[in-house]
Amino acid sequence: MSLENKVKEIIHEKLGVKPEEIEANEPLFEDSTEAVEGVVAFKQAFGIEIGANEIKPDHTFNQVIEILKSKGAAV
Amino acid sequence: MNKIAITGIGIVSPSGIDKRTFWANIKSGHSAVEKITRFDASKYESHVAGHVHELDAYSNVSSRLLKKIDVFSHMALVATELAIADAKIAMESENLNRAGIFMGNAIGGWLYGETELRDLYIEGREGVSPFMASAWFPAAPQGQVSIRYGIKGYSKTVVADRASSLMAIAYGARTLNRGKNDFIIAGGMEAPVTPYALLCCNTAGIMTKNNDQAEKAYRPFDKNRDGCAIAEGAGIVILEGPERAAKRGARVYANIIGFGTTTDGVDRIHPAADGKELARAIHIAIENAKLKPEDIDYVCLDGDGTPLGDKTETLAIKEVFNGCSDKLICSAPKSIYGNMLGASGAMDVITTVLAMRYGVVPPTINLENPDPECDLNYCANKAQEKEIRNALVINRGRGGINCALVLQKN
Repeated sequence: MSLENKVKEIIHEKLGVKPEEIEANEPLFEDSTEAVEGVVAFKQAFGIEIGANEIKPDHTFNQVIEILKSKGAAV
Repeated sequence: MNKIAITGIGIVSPSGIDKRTFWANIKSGHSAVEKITRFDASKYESHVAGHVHELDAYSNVSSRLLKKIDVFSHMALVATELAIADAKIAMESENLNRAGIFMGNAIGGWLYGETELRDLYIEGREGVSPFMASAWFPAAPQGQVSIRYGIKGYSKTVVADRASSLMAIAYGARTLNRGKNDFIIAGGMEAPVTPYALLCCNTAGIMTKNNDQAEKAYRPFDKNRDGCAIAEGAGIVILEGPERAAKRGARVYANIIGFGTTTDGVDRIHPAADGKELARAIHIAIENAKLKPEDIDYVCLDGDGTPLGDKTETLAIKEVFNGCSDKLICSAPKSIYGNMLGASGAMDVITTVLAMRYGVVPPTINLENPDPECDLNYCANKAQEKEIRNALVINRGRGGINCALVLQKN
């Protein structure tokens, strides 16, 4: 599974957003609480550290993928 | 008080979500109380309850929002949508600065709360969802309804145990009397069929232990009663002034015309043994309605099914209706679907306005062996046809809360 698909799977599980509804260049999160939920899930799923405010609510799906890659996230 | 019209109703209950199904089940007295199977409740002293089925079939709430809210907010959103549609209110053409929300519940959203607390102790701080803070608290349904429709007017959530939503509806009516809002969405919601909430209800000492016969467990005013079966659900009504209702050609189910509330000041759980303060609340409500006791045709009782609760409620009725109580017909229709705790007042109001509309008194079920100390006409086991012009709804809560609301047919 690709990193992109794994992230979509996590977002679906944690935020109830279907993978096909996630747009590459649209904000991934609705608000800061969704971003916190996502960041905690990414840290657990990929075994990486993500600092406060490194992933923000207005980051797009593609931007989040780039940040995760820069942290060494891999499937 | 000046009369306030009820122009829409929304029901999410163990006896049905659609109002026709609900009324058919209430009229027939078909019990909706079942053994709890959603989780292993077998070790709880009381493990029967009324469950809501088919909520998802009626829900337009997104899967994204469902991740952030407790089921008590979900039920409130569904019931609100049904009530607004029933009242035929076009929200997009309303001044939402003058729309309000008055909600009541007793225990909040514990399914969300207890799940996250478990994660806190097992996984640590990061195991807790950030949605927890906004999901569990009693005003969460009010907030979700306001967000859903963009409502910005004067609003309030009432927490008064089993009297919560009756009080919320009454305060909503009073707010309309003061001209603060154009219309109000009022009612209650409760989701107590969860491991921790059920435990709390068990320790309150008001629940039946008759687990072997779930459908017969809740038997208000019966000699062999031993408490209530709890239930989950939501009941919502639309309140508006009669002039506004007439102007837009709204169907008026009934009008709220009086309210009274008192407190016993005796015990943290049990009601006062003499029923005097409940009687005073009823007197205040009837006077507030500018009626006399003999004008009341039907009483929708609190009927908690405890030995003391039912006895003292009977005492209060007899004191108020001194000399005419033998002509009075009363019932506790919540015996059919279970005691919805903080939402029970809203459900009682809805059941009563349907009773007024159809001229049928809903029954108290499982009343097979009358208690000599409970000797009113409780409409035992079978609905009775009766023209109802004025009705009284009674709700009580722990801590000695007494509430009475008077309804009048339009």
